[in-house]
Amino acid sequence: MATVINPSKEELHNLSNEEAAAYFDEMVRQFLGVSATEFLKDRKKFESNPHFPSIEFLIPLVDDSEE
Amino acid sequence: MTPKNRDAALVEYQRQIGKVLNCVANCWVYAYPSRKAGQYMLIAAPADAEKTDKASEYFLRVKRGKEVLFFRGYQFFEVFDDDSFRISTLKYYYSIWPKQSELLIDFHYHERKADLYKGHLHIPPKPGVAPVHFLINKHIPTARIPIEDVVRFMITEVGVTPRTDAWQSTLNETEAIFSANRTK
Repeated sequence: MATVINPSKEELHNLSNEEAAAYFDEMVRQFLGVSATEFLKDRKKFESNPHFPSIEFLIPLVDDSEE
Repeated sequence: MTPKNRDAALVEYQRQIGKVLNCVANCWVYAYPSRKAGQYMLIAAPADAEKTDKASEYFLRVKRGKEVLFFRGYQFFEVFDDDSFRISTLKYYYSIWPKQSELLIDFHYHERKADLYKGHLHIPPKPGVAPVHFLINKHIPTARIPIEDVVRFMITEVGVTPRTDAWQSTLNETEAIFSANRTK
């Protein structure tokens, strides 16, 4: 298992701020090979990656100015 | 039954989305509150038993006969503080992947420049292959698609194997709730 989220293994789970940030950071590292911070600095660089649209959709998990 | 408050409406909505997606995948549903009161991100996550490696955390596994396909589903939605605590989808992202590195199709609904085609789909190029026609990566207009239709599409057109014989009645039931509460 990649991230330490949903430790209680709930079918319906509400993410804490820490879990949301961990989920996003680990997803970016897994599919783009950089940290969330690096991705957010220059996200255009990753536009051709097939995972880009899904990762971009989840940016509000770490940056609520993006909603 | 009408939820008594916003929290109850959120849980009920998570439950509905879970029922829909569990027609094709062993799935849990995560929610994350926005800084704007009443708005939430929703993430379809694989149930723990489906997590076999790091990448599997971020995909639902769906079976197509003996083959395994992958699905991602996210929504951004609002719960209205009215008598029935209605829910409105503000944005969605649904995608189907034959391999975890190969996107087959994705359905989007979100604001766009010039307000064109908020609802649209993309057909991406096959990795390592030059685009074979001019619609590759374009915004192909769609209506706002209920998630039930995406699951129906997977079962009836893509050939995904349903996990329950009752998938049609389940989708009809949850979609009726969506239609009754639809705000736009």
